[in-house]
Parts: sequence; C-alpha cells; structure tokens
Amino acid sequence: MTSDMPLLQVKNLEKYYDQQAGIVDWILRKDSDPVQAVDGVSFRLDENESLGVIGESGCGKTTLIETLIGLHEPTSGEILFKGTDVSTFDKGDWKQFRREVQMIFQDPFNALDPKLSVRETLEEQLKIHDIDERDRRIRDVLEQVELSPVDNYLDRLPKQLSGGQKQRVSIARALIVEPELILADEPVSMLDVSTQAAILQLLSDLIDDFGVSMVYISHDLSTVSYVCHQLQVMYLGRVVESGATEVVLNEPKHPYTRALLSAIPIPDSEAERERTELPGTPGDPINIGNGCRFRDRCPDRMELCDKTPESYALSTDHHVACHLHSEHDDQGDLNAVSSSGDVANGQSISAGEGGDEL
Amino acid sequence: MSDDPLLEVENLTVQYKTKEGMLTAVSDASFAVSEGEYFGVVGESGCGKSTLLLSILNALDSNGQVTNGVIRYKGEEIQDLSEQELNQRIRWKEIAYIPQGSMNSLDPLERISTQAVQLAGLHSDLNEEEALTKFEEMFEIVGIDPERIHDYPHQFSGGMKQRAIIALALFLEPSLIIADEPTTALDVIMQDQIFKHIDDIVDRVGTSIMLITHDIAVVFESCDRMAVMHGGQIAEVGPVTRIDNEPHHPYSTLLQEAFPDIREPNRDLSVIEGKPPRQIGETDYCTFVDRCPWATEECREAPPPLERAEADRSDHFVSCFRKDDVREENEQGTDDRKAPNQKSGSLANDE
Ligand SMILES: Nc1ncnc2c1ncn2[C@@H]1O[C@H](COP(=O)(O)OP(=O)(O)OP(=O)(O)O)[C@@H](O)[C@H]1O
Ligand SMILES: Nc1ncnc2c1ncn2[C@@H]1O[C@H](COP(=O)(O)OP(=O)(O)O)[C@@H](O)[C@H]1O
Ligand code: SF4
Ligand code: SF4
Ligand SMILES: [Mg+2]
Ligand SMILES: [Mg+2]
Repeated sequence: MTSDMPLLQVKNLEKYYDQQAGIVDWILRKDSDPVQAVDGVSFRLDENESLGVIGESGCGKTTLIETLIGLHEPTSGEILFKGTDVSTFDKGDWKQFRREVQMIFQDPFNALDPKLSVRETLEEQLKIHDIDERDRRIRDVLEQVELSPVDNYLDRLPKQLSGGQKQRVSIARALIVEPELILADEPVSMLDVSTQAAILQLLSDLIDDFGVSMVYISHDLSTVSYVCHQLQVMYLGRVVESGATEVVLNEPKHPYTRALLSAIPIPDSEAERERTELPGTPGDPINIGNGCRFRDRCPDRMELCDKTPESYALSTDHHVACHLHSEHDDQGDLNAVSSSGDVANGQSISAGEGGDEL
Repeated sequence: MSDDPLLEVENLTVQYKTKEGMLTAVSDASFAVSEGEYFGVVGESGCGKSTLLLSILNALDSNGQVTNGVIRYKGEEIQDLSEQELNQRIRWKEIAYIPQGSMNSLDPLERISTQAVQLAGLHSDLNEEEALTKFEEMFEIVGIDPERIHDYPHQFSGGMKQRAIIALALFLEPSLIIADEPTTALDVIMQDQIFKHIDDIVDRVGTSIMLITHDIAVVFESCDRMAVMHGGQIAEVGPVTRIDNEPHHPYSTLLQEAFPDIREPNRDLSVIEGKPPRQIGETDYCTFVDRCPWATEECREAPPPLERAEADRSDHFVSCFRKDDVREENEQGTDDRKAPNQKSGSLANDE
C-alpha cells in the first residue's frame, strides 16, 4: 500500500432491478417487488491488492461488477474511485475511468470479435483510448501475456486460438491501456485445467509485478488462493463473510462459507469427504424481508435468525454476518435454539480472535 | 461389484468425415466396465470422451462411424445392431444415457410424468399406472417430492431438472447409466448434491455408472476405476487408487499436478502447454508427444500400445513407451524432465 487512500471504496452499495412488470400488473397498477441483486455491499480495495468475490450462481457477483464499472446506476450507496464519488464524474472523468478500469470476461469464446485479428483487437482498444506507439505496445503486451513469438499470433483470428490463448488475448486487451484496476468475472471457469494454471499465474503476476489491482469473481474457492489477497463471500446480494484469503479458507466461520468449502471435490482417492448436507438452492432475492438470507438452508438456524445479522468483527481482518458469532448480541442466549453442535459458539469466536496473528 | 464385464470396448476407432478428411476422434481404445462398477472417464475438452460414449450408444452424428473394433454388452456384440433392436432391447432398459448439457434435454411442452410414461411405453411392458408409481419412487431416490412428477420442466431449477433426468435414466432399471458431464454447468453445492444421489444409486440400486468428466477430483472421490484419455487415445486405465497414487502415464501425472486442491492452496500448479492435435487420418503416433516432457523420437513413429502397467497386474494398463522411466522418476521424486511450465517447443504445435 502506497497511500492511505484506497483505490476503490464501496459503501453500502445497493442495486435493485425492477422486475419486468407484466401487463396484468400494469393494468392493476400493482408494483412488483424489486430484485435485490446487490444489497448493502461495502469494501475497500487498496493499490496492488486483489479481492475475490465468491458465491453461487445468482448471488449478485456479476451485478456487483457491472455496477462498479458504471453499466448500472446504483440504487443507493457510494462508489469512490481514488477518493472521488463516481456519481460526480463528468464526461472526461468517465473517459479516464474507462481506461483505468478494465474487464476480463468469463467466456473467452465470445469475448473477442471473431472478425478481428489479435493485432486488430488490440489496435482497436488503443484507438478508443487515443494511445500512440501502437505497434510497440501491442508487441510488449503480447510478450507480457506470453503469446510469443509475437509474430506467430499477431494475425490470427479468434477461431485460430485455443481457449487459453483467447483468454490471454482478452487479458492483453485489458492490459494494453495500462489499467489500475482489473475486474475479472470467472476468468478461468471455462478453461481446461491444463490451461487454467497458466492463466491464474498470469493474473497473479499482474498484481505482483505490474502493480495492477483486481476484483476477481468466482463461484469456486479452489482457485482463489492463487490470485486473491482478500475474500468476500456473498449470498443473495449480501456479504456474509470477508477476510484475508488464508483466514477465510482456513477458519471459515459462516455456515455458508463452510458449505461452499466442504462441497469442493478433493483430488485424492483416499480422502473421506462427507457430501454436503445443504438442501436446495438460493432462491431469488425478491421480497425476502428481514432475517438472515441463508436461514432456510442453514444447518445452524436459530430463532434469532429471523432478525438480520449484522457484520461482526472477529478480528481486524475477518468479518462475519451470522448470529452464531454475535458475541455482543443483545438477544442473549445464543445456544438456546441452535440445531447443531458442531459450531460451538464460544469456541469459534475465540478461534476467530486467534486469527489476528495470521 | 462383480468382475463380470458388463461392457467391453476393444480396439475401438471412431472417425468423423470432415472437409479436411477423416478425423480420428477415438483411436484404438480398449477398456471394460464391470457389473455394479462406478467407472470414470477424464480428459480435457475435445479428447474424444463424448464420441466414445456416443459410439457405445450407437448414436454418433451422421458423419461419424466406428471404423474398427468391437463393443460388447453382456457378452453380445452391439456395434452393428439395428436402430430397432437397440431401441427395443438396449436403450433405456439396459443402457441409459444422460447427455452433456442435459438440463435442456427435457421436452419443455410436456409434463415430466408424460415423458416418463412415453419412455415406458416405448422401451418396457409397464402400463401407465405402473410407470407412474415407478417414476414416483425414482423421484424419491433423487430427492424431489414425488408429487412433482406432474410438473413441467420450467417449474424446476437447473439442479432439479438435472435430477429429474437422472430419475428418468434410472426409471427402467438399466444395468448401465452413462452420464456425460452431468454437473459441469452447476455450482459446487448443487454438484455435490447431485453426486450424493448418484452415490446412493450405486449403493442401493447397484447400477453400473460410466461418468464422463474433465474433473479428476470428482472421479478420484467417487469412482472405482477410471480411464484417462488424451487426443483420442486411452492413456491409462485402472483402479482410481492406482492412477492417483502410482500414475504411469505422463499425462495422468501432469493432470494431477495441474489440478488445484483446496487443502493445499499454495501448491504450484503445473501447466500442460498446447492442446491435443486434431488428427486427420489414422493416429500413428502418441498424441501427447508435442506436450510431453518425456517424449523421444520413438513416440512419433508408432502409437504406444495399451499394455499392463506392471507385468504382475491385470487391472492397470498404460500406453506410453517410457512408462517405466516415468514411474521410476515419479517414485524417486527426482525431476530431470523439463519444467512443465517451460514453453520450449510446445507452442509451435499449438495451432
Ligand atoms: N437485468 C436483470 N433484470 C432482472 N433481474 C436480474 C437482471 N440481471 C440479474 N438479475 C437477477 O439478479 C440476481 C443476481 O444476478 P447476477 O447475474 O448478478 O448473479 P451471478 O452471481 O453473477 O450469477 P451467475 O454466476 O449465474 O452469473 C439474480 O436473482 C438474477 O436473476
Ligand atoms: N460431428 C462432428 N464432426 C466433426 N468432428 C467432430 C464431431 N463431433 C466431435 N468432433 C471432433 O471430435 C473430437 C472429440 O470430440 P468430443 O468427443 O466431443 O470430445 P469431448 O467430449 O471430450 O469434448 C474433437 O476434435 C471434435 O472437434
Ligand atoms: S444467522 Fe442464523 S441462519 Fe444465518 S447463517 Fe447464521 S446461524 Fe445460519
Ligand atoms: S513418453 Fe512418448 S509415449 Fe509416453 S506419453 Fe510421452 S510422448 Fe507419449
Ligand atoms: Mg455471473
Ligand atoms: Mg463432450
């Protein structure tokens, strides 16, 4: 960290979508309830840091990233980029922002224009942002994403590239404008394992060697340790647990984080992993009222869980929004209605405090 | 599980007719699945997994054909059976199939129960009432409320649709279920829920399962035996514990090293540069040669035969000319091969 001012700060961000009101609703003048896709998300991202946003399909990851980049108007909350609220941006500020913040998409197979060669794809990006010395930059960036010898790749069309190579071109396109922040939406989930490792390595090099910051979205916790310093686990629009990557992976405290971790298959024929006990899927974040959003699936649900849990600090670097960990919660006896003994409340809280050392 | 082979595939070669010529998608593949066995097939995209099982089902695209080899089911050669015979005797009631991307394979316009009754009418002697009772039991097994058999597919979430399809596959009590990437589009929790039901089926119903996936962890965890495929060839086939602990083929070894393990979040992952070749004409070399750190000239001159990994083991086969060297190196932990992520030479073949 070079200064106290975070590169990106998000405060209480909400993005609700209006549901497509049907004609009947319209005639009856009935308002349909909004989809609470992102609901009260806050975080800070410092220079040269990377944050992983983790959660199942539909939890709001893509909405979050699209709101951050300005594709959606937030319903409420603030997004500060280098200390300035983006809602105060003028045209010139947005132009600057669109250069400094770049995206990498999930699907390398559709992210590139099939008619443009690698060179043309990169040239187009430089033209949009009025950047000179195009040839040199194109060569440098291709070296950087390890598409070398460069001359072998310059004139290839996307269909002449493998999935991993396409993803490298997408990364090159983001990188060539020298961004400060990259937002990556599931960048390896469509790649074979044989190429996945190389792309993870490349992303982590960008952070370590080129001073880029990153928000890395994934539904899969098994790759985050290769890229992310910090993690934040989302469930139906809300952050349920956040902290340093190794803390969250080693000492997950939220029942949902635990479920996500325990469902990952282990590449070991002798490992005796129990299959998940979690029923169902996340519903839609529509009209879900108060209370913990995970409560209809949670093995540890208590009466208290009909109240929305706040985010509790287990250490300076580990937060969890779950009543099991509400040490100072004024609702009193936590153990009274807990259905499961395996998360002993007192024990987890003290373990959390121990997490400070990490 | 018994040792009687249920399905035997011998020297199977499958080709597709393309503009460039005959594309070999599966080359000289041999393996067997026993009764009650949970058999996994792993390999990366395009290695021929789907082609392999479509040829078993005699359901290749019209430009594809089995050009060599035998497929035996319960001792009977089935590769030349007519459509009519396959439908009457084999499909659904003997071998059921869960296709890749199958969430979308239910008919959206029909109730799921109607689709089950139609299947029963075509492939069994069950009357409608018997069929519905049976189908309700199957819903129970896959963990969906039996009353919901009369729902339309759109009333189900993705994971429920997937389970409804597993229920359909189970329905006529086949001896073998072939599932092609049944959970690939799903989140980890949903995936685990589905595999829990598949485990149940193996335990309770005793069906053999052939699971096709690119996820080696899923196979290591669930299956009894497995085959590793690369570029249309079977690289290695044997018990899961053997291939996990004593892999003999370079590709099996590297695939494991490339796979992240949540228990070791900081382990270096190996990279396998390049991709399998698109083979026009007969495959007369090892298809891993351009990606293989152990490759020698010999590997270009002939396809390596699928042989016993060790002379005294009849259940573990490998196709690699240098299997003994590879084994030795793996055992010693010494590593005189090139660093796997060193890109020398391999990009040239990466067209
Ligand atoms: N344009 C839209 N209009 C209405 N609802 C939407 C829209 N886009 C997303 N949603 C809803 O918002 C919620 C969050 O969706 P989002 O796409 O952000 O999830 P996600 O975590 O990215 O899921 P996935 O991994 O499947 O892409 C979901 O309930 C989704 O149905
Ligand atoms: N109908 C087809 N026509 C031509 N080539 C095909 C056809 N189907 C598959 N192939 C080719 O056969 C090879 C194996 O494909 P497939 O069996 O689908 O692999 P996987 O399921 O492992 O991804 C690939 O090279 C693929 O492009
Ligand atoms: S608040 Fe209650 S329902 Fe929510 S995760 Fe914690 S224990 Fe479970
Ligand atoms: S050593 Fe030769 S035969 Fe063995 S896998 Fe490598 S290229 Fe193939
Ligand atoms: Mg998404
Ligand atoms: Mg396939």
